[in-house]
Amino acid sequence: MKAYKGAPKRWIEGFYGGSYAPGEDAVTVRSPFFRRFYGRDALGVPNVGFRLVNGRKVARPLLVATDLQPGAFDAHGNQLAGASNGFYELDATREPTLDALGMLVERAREDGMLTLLPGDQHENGAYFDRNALTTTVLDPDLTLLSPREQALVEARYAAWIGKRLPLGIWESIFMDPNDPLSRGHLIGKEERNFLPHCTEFVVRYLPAVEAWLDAEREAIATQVAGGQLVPRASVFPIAKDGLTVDLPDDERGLGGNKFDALVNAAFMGPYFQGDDHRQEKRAIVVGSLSEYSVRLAIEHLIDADVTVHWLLSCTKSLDVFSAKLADVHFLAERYGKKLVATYDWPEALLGPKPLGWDAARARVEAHDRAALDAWLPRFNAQLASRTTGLGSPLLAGV
Amino acid sequence: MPTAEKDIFAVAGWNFVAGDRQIEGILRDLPPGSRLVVRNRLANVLATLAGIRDLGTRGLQVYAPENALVEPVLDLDGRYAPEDFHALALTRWFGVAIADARDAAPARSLVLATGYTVAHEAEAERLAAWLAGQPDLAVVLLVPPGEALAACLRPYAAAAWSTQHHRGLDAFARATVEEAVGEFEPERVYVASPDPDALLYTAVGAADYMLRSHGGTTRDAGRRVHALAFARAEVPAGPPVALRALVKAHMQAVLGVASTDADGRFAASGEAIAIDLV
Repeated sequence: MKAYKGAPKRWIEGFYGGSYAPGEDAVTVRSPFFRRFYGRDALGVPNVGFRLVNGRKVARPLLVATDLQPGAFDAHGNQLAGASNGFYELDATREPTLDALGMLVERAREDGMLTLLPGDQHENGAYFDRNALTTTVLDPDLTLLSPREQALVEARYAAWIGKRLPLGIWESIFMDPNDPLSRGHLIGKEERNFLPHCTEFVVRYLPAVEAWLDAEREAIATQVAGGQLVPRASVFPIAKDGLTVDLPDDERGLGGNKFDALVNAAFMGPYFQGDDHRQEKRAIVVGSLSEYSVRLAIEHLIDADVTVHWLLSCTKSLDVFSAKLADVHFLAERYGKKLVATYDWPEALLGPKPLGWDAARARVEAHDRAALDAWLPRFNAQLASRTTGLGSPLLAGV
Repeated sequence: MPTAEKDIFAVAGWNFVAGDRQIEGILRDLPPGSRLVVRNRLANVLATLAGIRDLGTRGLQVYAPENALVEPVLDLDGRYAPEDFHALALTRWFGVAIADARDAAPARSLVLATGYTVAHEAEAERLAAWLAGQPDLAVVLLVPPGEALAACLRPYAAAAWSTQHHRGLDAFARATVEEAVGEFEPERVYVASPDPDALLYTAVGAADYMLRSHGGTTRDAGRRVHALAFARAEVPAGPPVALRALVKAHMQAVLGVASTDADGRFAASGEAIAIDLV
C-alpha cells in the first residue's frame, strides 16, 4: 500500500494547466494583497479566454507585467525620500520603454486580457507591529546565541526564555546597533544586498496601471453589490519580496503570493493539454528589470511549459551590469524552444498594432543597441581580466 | 487486514486530516475503491470522518467499526433526543460554547457564517439581527459555488473580512479560510450555519484552528469558539434513543460511513485516532 510513487510532476499535462471540472468557469484565488486594491481577498480567476481566428479557437495570451512601479527622482537621479521608489521614470524622454508599455497596458485593459502584475513590496518598518509574535522561540541553551546576544538576554530578556519573541524584543536581541547597515533596526535582504527600493505602502504602480486597477475595483464592487461573493477579475496585483516572482505557500497551503495559482488558473478549462492544445499556453512578459525579475519570470513560466513572448519594447533594463540584448541571448540560448523575443507588436496575439507603435518601438531598439554597444567591450574586458563590473575578482581564491 | 507499516503524525486537534496536509495527500492518492477504517476516540473519529468526507475523494469506502471506538466522556447507552445531538456533541465532546442571541462579541472576534444562501433566508434573518448588534466583529461569509448569499446578509458582504465559496462540512479545512482567519488573529471565533452538521464540524474546525494558533489544550481551544445555534435550522424532534444509535445514524447519513458493524480484525488502540488503509 505504501510505496514511493515518484515526486509529483507539477507540469505534467492534465496535472497542471488544463485541469478542469465541468461547471467551473473560474478558479478562486485568495490573497490579502488583493484587499489593498480591491477591498476583498478572494477573486474568481477565469482562464485566458479564446478568440476565433479564421474559424478556429485560439487562446489569448496571459500578460505578465512585472514591477511596473514608478520612482521619483531628483535632477541627479537620486530617489526622493517618501515618494514612490520603484524604477520607472515617468518622463518618456528619460524612460524609453514608457510609450510602448503604455500602449500595451491600454490594449490589455480594453480587451480585458488576463493580466498578472507582480510588484516588489519590500519591508516598511513603519508598519511593523512590534507586539506581534515572531516564530522564534528563545532557546534555553543560550550558548547558541552570539556573545552579544547572550549578554543582552541575560541582562534584559531572561523572562522570555522558552517563549515566542515579540518582534520588538526580537529586534532588540538580534539586530546589532553597531552594525553599519542595520544600526540595530530590522532590515530586509533587498536593502542589505542591493539597495532600498519599492517600499511597501510607499511604492505605487504606474499611473495607467493604477487607473486600470481603480476601474477593476468598481467592477468588482458592482458584482459584490449584486450578491456575488467571489467576484471575477481579470487583472491581479501580486506582492513579491525579491527576484523570484512566485512566493510559494507554506506546508499548510498558506501565505504565498499565489502567482503560481494564478498561472494555473489562466490555463484551466478546455483545453490546454495534450499534443493538440499545449501550444495554447502562451504568456507575454514585460516590465522591469530585464536583468532581474523579468528574466526570472520568463524562466519560471518556461518551466511551467508556457511559451513566452518577451516583448522587448515594453521591458526596462538597468543597463549597468548587463544589456538587454545580452539577456535575450542568455535566455534564447537556453530556452530557444519556449522563448520568442521581439520588439514587434505581436498582432497574432494582441490584434492590430496601435498608432505610434513603430516610433515607440524604434526608440527602444535604438536605446538597447546603444546600451549593448557600450556594454559589450566592458564585458569582454571584464572577462579577460576575470573581474566584475565593480572591479572585484570574478573568482574567489585566485 | 491492516499492515504493519505505520505513518505516524504528531497532530494536535480533532480532525486528523486537517492537522497535517500530508495526511490529506495520502488519502487523495488512494486508488478508487480503497477502504479506510477509522477508529479510536469517538470525538476524534467523528471530526476525522467529516474531514475525509470533505475531501470529496470519489470511491473511498470508509468504515468505523463500533468495536474499535472508545468513548471516555459520555455513556453511549444514555438516551438523548435527536434534536439535542449537535448541542451535546459541541459542548460535551468539543468544549464549544453555544452562544445565544444576546451574546455580545468581545474585541478581536470573528464570525464565520457558512451556507446562508437564498434558500435559508429565515435562518439568515436571525443571524443578521445578531450581527446588527456587533459593530466591531470581523465577518467571513461563505456560500457554495453558484449560489447566492441571502439578501439580508448582502450588506455585510462589501465590508466583510473575507467572502469565499465553500461546500462541505468543515469550512476551516479550506486553506483559504484558514489563511483569511489567521490574518485577523481572532481571540474568539463565532461559527454560524443554517445546517446543523456544518455548524458542528465548522465549529470543530475552528477549535482545531485555535489549538494551532493559541496552543493549550483542546478544551482551551474549544472555549474560544462559540456556535450560533440560534441561527440554524431546527432538527426534527424525536423520542430519546441511545446515544450509540444517534452516533451510528449520524455516521451513516451525514459522514458517509459505509458501515459501523463490528469487525474483529480491528480494535481500539492507544492513539486518539487511527486510520487503517485496508
